[in-house]
Formats: sequence, C-alpha cells, structure tokens
Amino acid sequence: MIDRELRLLVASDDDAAMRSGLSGAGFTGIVIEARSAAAALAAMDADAFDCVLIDDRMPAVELIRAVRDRSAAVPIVVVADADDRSTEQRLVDAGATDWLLRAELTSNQVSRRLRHVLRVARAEAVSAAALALARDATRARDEILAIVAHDLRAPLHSVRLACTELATDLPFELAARYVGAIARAAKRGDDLIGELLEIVKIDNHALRVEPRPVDIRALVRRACADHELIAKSTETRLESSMPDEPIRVLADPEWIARVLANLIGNALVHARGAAVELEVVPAVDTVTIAVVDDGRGIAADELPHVFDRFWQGRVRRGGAGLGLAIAKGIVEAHHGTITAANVPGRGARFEFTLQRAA
Amino acid sequence: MAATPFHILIVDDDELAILNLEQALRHAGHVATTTAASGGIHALQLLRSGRLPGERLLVLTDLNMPGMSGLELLIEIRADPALSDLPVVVLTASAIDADRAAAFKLHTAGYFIKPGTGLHFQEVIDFLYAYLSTSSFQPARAP
Repeated sequence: MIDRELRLLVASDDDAAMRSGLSGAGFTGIVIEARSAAAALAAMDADAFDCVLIDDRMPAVELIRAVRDRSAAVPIVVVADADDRSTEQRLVDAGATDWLLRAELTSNQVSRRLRHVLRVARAEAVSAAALALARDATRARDEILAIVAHDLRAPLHSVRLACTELATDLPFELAARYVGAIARAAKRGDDLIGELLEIVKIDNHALRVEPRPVDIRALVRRACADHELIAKSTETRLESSMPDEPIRVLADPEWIARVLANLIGNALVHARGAAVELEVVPAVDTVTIAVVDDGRGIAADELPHVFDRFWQGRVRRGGAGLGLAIAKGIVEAHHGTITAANVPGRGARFEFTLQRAA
Repeated sequence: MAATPFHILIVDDDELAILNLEQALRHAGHVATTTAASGGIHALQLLRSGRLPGERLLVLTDLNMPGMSGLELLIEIRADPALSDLPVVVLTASAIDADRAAAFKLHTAGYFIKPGTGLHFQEVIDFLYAYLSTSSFQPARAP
C-alpha cells in the first residue's frame, strides 16, 4: 500500500500496461489518465498531483519540460524502453526525477520507485519550507539589527559630541544641562535594550507573568496619574470612565501597568493634544480595557501592522516602535486579546481583555 | 558670509541633539539667537506666537519626532500664509530617499543627514551661511 490519498497523473497512450502495474502495486489513490501530452498538461492546469508518471513513447522530453514549467517540485517518473546513459541523460536534463525500465514495469518496481520518489519529494518540500522560514527569520533579524543599530547609535553619537563639549570650559548651568541630557539619553538606550530583551522573551514564550486577582480600576488610575505630567505638557486631556464598584481581574500588576503605559504613551503621541480616554468595561467572564483617542486615527492599510515590532506607520516618529508589540505579548501571556480599530467621529481605539477573577 | 546675524529655530525631540547643535552654531558665529522646539506642534506654537524674530529666521528641523513629524511640520508651514515663505532646512538621521523627495517637494532649503561619526556640523553650518548670504533669502513675514 502506498497511500490512499495520493493523486497520480499518468501520461501514456498505452494505459493498460501502466494501469496493471499500478493496481498491482496496490496504488489506491486517485489516478488521472492522459492519452496525450496536451491532455496531461490540461489535467495539470486543472489540478495538483503528488506525482506524474510519463511514458517515454510519448514526446517525453517536451512533456517533462512543460510539467516542470508548471511545477518545480512535483516528482516526475518516466517509463523508458532503453537502459542506457544517453536515455538517462536526456530525461534527467529535461527535469525528470527518476525513471524505470518498461521491462521492470512490474508491480513491485512501480511500488518501490513511487514510494521512494514521493519520500524524496516530501523531504525536499519540508527542507524548502524550512529554508524559506530561516531566510525570513534572518531577514527579520537583519531589519531589527539595522533599526536597533540606528536607534542606539544616534544617542551614543550625541553623547560623544556632548562629552567633547563637556571637556571644554563650559558655564556650570550649561554643563549641568548636558549632564542631565546625557543621563536621559543613556536611559533611553538602556530602555531600548530592555525592550529588545522583553521581545526575545515573548518570542521564546519565556515572559513570566504571575496573574493574581486585582482591581483593574486601581491599575488604570495609577497609569493615568503616571501620565498626567506628559499629558499636560502636550496639552492633552487624559480621562477615565470606570464602574464605581471594584472590577477584579486576573493580572500581573507590573506587566499590565506596562501595557497601559505603552497604550497611553502611544495615544499621547498620536492624539496631538486631542483627548485620550480610558474605559473599563466589564462583561461576564472578561473585562475590556480600552484606550481611545480623539486623534486622526490609523490609516486603513496600517491597521493590520500596528502590533508588528518596529512598526511606526508611514512616518517614523521616534522611539523604536516596540511598545505595541510588547503590549500584545504581555496581554497574550495573560490569555487575553488586544485589538486596534478606528472609531468613527473619534480617533484610534486600542482595547485588550483580561479574565475576571472569581 | 552673511553680514547680518540670523536666528535659528531648532526642532528636535532629542534634547542632547539640540544642545549639541546650539553649541556648534554658537562656535560658528553669525547666529544671533537659537530657539529650541521639542517637536512639530511646539515649533508651530512658537512660530505663531510672535515671540520669534520676524526677519532672518530659519527653521532647522529633525524628521522623526513624536506627535508631529518634521515633514508634517513642513506641510503646516507651507499651508500657513503667514509662514509659507519661511526657509526650512532638514537635519535628520533618515537617509530614506522618499523622505528626502518629500522634503524637497515641500520646498525645503536643504537636506542633511545627521553626522554618523563626524564630530562637527561644519557642512550644515557652511550651507546655512551660503544660503543666508544669497540674495534669494527672503525674510519670513512676521506673524
């Protein structure tokens, strides 16, 4: 028995020999017979096959090439009359995977060859997919490296410049400003590396969250208080609307505070002075926490990418663009979901869910 | 060389970059005043406040900034009849062609990539001098 589910295309003007070989091999998959090259190609255009068996008495080389044009991966086995080097060369050059002698067209031979050819084809498909995956991963890593190199290098360059200035005879007040700015630039670099390490943890499912029952209102209140100064500096109104009674959710307070900080920080950047509102909406099993702003919203083509790491929309606005990706990782580690949408008449709405605590 | 000193509004969200640029301009001379804005919105507020000199004023802006980017600031400036003639020079870390093209489409006077390793802004400052010395330099209309 080879495989019940296989689809085999047999191109031959002498079906009988092929059919007997196949049935003897116990091949019970789907066999489509084509009596001409044109019929074989039409069948290929209409359907996908696991293997193509071609009779060399047909114009085999042309057919092999045409089949190869349609699929680089499908195994092609040729049934040939002659067992010589020139035949082998001719068929392999055209793109055949394997060939067997007509004299060997016994059930045993067909069965063994097909099994072998299919096994090789499957292995090739698996390795091609793995290679593509590895290439994508390498490219993604290179992109991340380029961005990180830039985002770390810019402040470092500023610090170097500042140090050469500090080495001169600066007025005390200016020197103090420099030192303060250097400290903040160093903190930004440090924060960026911290965020990268968090992303690595999220990727490796190694983010350790310890959810416990907490009143989500307290976390939201604290997050609002933490951002009051920044909101004021950008003349943004930061508000919250929450139920009066405690809403207990399962959350790791430290990590959920990070989610709230990232969402509020993001809204403050994009709201441009328009209001930012936090909502806590309890349902039966879950609680939805939303951050809504009155900014310009998110462009439709950018919506699917907002949680991608390093995504900042068409206009890069400073910062590494990891905040929303980290927020997503943290929420998912809490078995919640996070989404972004535009609200008609308002700006963007980011919301995430947490499980209610008993 | 520009005979009369000029005024520069520096727009950058990186305070250290602002400090460094202010120092470099100070060392280079010919700059009467520098004013710093932390982003596009802040820059527009300053430009429309009437607190900046109405003549011989030039904007030196970064592109990647939170809130309002440098390109968005350029759009706002060009759309505002009181500011539309203001010379704006871009000083950014972005070497992206699309950014450069967009900036020139908005009539930026110059486009400079922030020095990666060099420790001076001489190229930028030389350009500013040359630009401000030409007769084509039109003082901005006072808001």
